Amino acid sequence: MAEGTPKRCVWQAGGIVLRYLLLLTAFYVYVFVAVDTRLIYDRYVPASMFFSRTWETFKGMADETGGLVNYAAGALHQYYCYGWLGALILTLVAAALAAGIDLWLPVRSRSWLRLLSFVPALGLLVAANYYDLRLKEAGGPLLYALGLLLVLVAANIHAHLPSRRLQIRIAVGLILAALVYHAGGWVYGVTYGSGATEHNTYVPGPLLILVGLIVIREIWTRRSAFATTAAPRKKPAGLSGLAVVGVWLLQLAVLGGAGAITAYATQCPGLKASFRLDYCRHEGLWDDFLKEARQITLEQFASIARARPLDAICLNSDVNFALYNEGLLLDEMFKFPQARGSLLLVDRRGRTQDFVRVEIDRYSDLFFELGRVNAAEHAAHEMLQVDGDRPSTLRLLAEINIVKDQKPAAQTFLGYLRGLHNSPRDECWAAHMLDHYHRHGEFPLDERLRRIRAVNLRDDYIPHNPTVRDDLERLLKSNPNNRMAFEYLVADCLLDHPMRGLPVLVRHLDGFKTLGYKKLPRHVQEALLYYSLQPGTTVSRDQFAVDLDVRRCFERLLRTDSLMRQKGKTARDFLTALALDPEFVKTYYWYAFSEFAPSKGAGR
Amino acid sequence: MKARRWWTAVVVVGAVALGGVAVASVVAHLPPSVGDCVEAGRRPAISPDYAGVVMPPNIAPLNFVVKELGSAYLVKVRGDGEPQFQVYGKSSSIVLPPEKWRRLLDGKPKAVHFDVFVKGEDGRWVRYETVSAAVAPEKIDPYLFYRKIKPMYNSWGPITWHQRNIETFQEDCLLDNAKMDDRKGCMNCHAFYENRPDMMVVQIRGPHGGMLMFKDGKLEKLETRTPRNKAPASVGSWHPSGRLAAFSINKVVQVFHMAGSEVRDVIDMNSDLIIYSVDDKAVTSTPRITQPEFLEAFPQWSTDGKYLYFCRAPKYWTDNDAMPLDQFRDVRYSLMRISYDIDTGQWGDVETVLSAEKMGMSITEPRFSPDGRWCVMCLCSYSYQGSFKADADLYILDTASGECRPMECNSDQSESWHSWSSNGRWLAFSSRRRDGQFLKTYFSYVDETGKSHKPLLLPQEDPTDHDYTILAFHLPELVKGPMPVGARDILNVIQESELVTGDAMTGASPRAAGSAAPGAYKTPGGDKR
Repeated sequence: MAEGTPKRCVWQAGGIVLRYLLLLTAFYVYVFVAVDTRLIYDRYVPASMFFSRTWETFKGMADETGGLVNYAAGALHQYYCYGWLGALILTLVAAALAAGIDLWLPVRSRSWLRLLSFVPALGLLVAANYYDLRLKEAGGPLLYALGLLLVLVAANIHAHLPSRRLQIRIAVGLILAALVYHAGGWVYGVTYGSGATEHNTYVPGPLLILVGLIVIREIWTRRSAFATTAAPRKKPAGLSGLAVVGVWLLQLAVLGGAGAITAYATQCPGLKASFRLDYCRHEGLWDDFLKEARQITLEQFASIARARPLDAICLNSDVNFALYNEGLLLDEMFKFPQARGSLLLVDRRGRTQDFVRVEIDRYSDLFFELGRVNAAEHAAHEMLQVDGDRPSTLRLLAEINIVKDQKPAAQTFLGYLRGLHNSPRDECWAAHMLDHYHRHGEFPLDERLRRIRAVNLRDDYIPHNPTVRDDLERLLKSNPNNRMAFEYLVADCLLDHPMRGLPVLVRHLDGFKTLGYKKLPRHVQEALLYYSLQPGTTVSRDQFAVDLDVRRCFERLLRTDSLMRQKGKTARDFLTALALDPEFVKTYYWYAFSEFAPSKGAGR
Repeated sequence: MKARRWWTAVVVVGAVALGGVAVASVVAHLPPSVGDCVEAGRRPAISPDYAGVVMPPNIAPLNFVVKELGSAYLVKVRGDGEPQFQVYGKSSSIVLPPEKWRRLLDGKPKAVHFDVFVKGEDGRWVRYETVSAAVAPEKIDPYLFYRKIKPMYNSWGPITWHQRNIETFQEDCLLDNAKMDDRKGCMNCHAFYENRPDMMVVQIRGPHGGMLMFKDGKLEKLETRTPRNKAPASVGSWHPSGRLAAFSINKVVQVFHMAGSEVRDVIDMNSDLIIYSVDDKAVTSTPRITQPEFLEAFPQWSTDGKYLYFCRAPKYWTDNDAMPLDQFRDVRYSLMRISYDIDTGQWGDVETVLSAEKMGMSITEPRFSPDGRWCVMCLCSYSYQGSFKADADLYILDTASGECRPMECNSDQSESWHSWSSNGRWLAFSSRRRDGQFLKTYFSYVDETGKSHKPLLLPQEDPTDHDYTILAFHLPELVKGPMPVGARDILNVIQESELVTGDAMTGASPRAAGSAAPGAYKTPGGDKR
């Protein structure tokens, strides 16, 4: 086969297409499985929620310099909320960038220079691996990629103009430059300085790159033409079919290898775990949340608590909420570090404006699930003022009004959410709810909303410095079947000083029967065993069933205690001995001893 | 030649296609024949509900949404005679052409009638009973001023202050706190002198706070706080002479209910009245309206300027009580008045006009009609702020007979914050009747007997706006024209100019003979607190 024959061209084209298909399929699978664009969307909701995908926004932005690229990036970014679609968008953009460079490069199809066309795709991969960190503009790296894509389209139009007349090429170049400037504007930003002195300087990146590409291509083409005219080049000897396949495979291996190395080297597991925890919390994927949380070691927890106490408090609260939702709160809460104030986020140490924001965000969810619907409404409205039209807040407000059977208000929130056009998934939900309401005069109530409506607090009071326990006891008084209030009350008792919390726990033991527990949860058994030893208590070990492993653990504890006493060891030694046993560290005993009486005999 | 033929063919095909699209578009928008329609036998559900309202003859088009399922909608609009124009489309949002609407109202019809037709899913047109709205002979003041804000609890975000031309849909934003340096400023409590835009005040809070006064073509930022009165002025009323304005100063806290439909409630912990003298920019008061054992609020001058009306409630707590949660439900304000002679600066005695005990409710927000015949107030079970209470209603007091009765324009939701038009025939007020949550502005016609008629909602160009906006319209005030200054000037004065301070302690021009000398005035926050 001689180079340039039709058959050879078909093979070459087929080879290129196949290379694209293989590489981009790998790209898609990686982004879909390993990156998950939903995490990017979830993290940058505050940036993207101000963008509305409406015709009015488009018209407004089309008039602005750079508005079109901004619009496209903002609109496409919002579809990141669907993992498969986000990965597809990134893949298609990567493919378009590669194709744009491929078409523009004035080299032979087999040239190694062609591998450069995949460089922007690798850039997108790196940005995705970093979860668009430091590119917080709505659209993030998409904005940059689409700006480059625009440039490549214009550069290719110019490169493939049929006319070689310089005047025509300059005129077309100027028109394209004007169009690119208008559509791409000042996309590329340079950040310098740090902290308070951080500044962003934007440059008309697309225009500059276009001018550069046009000039390079022109010089290249004209020099090649001149060189060909001056000294006609010898036609290179054609490679054999096997050699062509070999080169193709080699190039594919180089590209695949570069991609794999880039993907591996730029992975950020810590970042992903943090984003994923947030995402699972927002989406109520509690099982997945706990899977992520269980990956965090006690040392990492301690390190977070030292470096970022507020994050630790919030994480603690989220873990407890996840455990409750999975029915594991009273069985596994001490497998995670605990602090009393973080159960319902009442620990106000180190309060900052940011903490208020993260706090009220969680308040609204926690209170809603607890049945303190008015308190949730209050917190959600604060969020609306502080944080703007976050779709999740509007969704919660709609749900709150549905639970309170305030249909017109729910309709208003749903209509507003739908009309914002800033979150495709929430819009769909709002449209579905409104459609149901218009057809049936009622909003559909799922299991969760029905349960919350059932436990909604009915007796009014105005809280004024109440304790968590007061609030939970009021909820239980209003509805003894409020399982969350009950479990949180028991958890609060367990987290309190044993001499204050456990008597209250004993008072509420009947609740386990009322709520249909088959047996007492593990940590409750531990606490009661411990409490039964205390002088003056009315609880004896025969009054409740104890699992075998709980009893064994307790007996081991007593033996250790007795041994330490015989040896005349201090409370600190006792704690050290407990800490060495991984089973003890996950029990109520460890929490109670280490938290309340480490220097006074470890509660013995 | 071949290429030319191709080009010709392309042009011809293109032209034919374009023509076809144009013809199809025209045909699609032609009003259909609805001669053989089915009678629904009832009025259509429309939003806003304009059936039976009385509207001003200078109102913007009453656009509405037909809340009936259908594939096409036709509305014929007529005055007293034959249909004047019709609107047809596939959307249930009926947007009336402004020129035709204006022409219709220029004919001075007694009523405007809307005949609504909806094309059902079976392709047949259904005709509904006519929706009619009466047209009052008297015009309403053409401008409405209000503040737009999302429901506010402790924090606040975007707040904007607007003037709206209610003869059209033109709305201008006069102040947007997002444009302030700190993005946190708040604005509220505007008061216009005799519905005039060229003489008014608006209170600004935040780092650039002060009282913004526009008078004699000049915009100034004034200080109303004194060393003894730390709280800024809020709700106010101009004296008919234009030389004084009375304001309340309040220490208000919000509390939150754990059950029930409305979460918020307000406790007026402490409040007094102050008098601002416009000429010498001095703040004064008299002990009779700053009594420590009472809460005094909502000052309102009588139209002859001889009395200052206000609302007063006993204060059941001391200044040291943090949160009077046990007593605040007992706070009910009575309507009081005190005579005042502006020439001598002499205050009379405080007298009760309408007692809370007699009404069994808390009386707030008194506003006199321009002729002084009527006083409209907001009454609710307890509290300082009726807008948070579903039982809050507007009551009208006949100053001639002393009779006080609920107005006909009330609903089962809260009505509050009302304002008279300069001719005394229209009342603008806030109501939550639409969804129980968001305050919207309504206009009600008040006839010569004091009877109010079914109110209409402030019309919007996009009739779905009211359904799907979470912004509340606060403190609607009817005004005769637009502000003579623009948003930029207002922002400049707020941010750039210094607070203008008068000699609060010694320069009190409206000296009250019944009180101490100016230098010893008990300004609220001083001796009292």
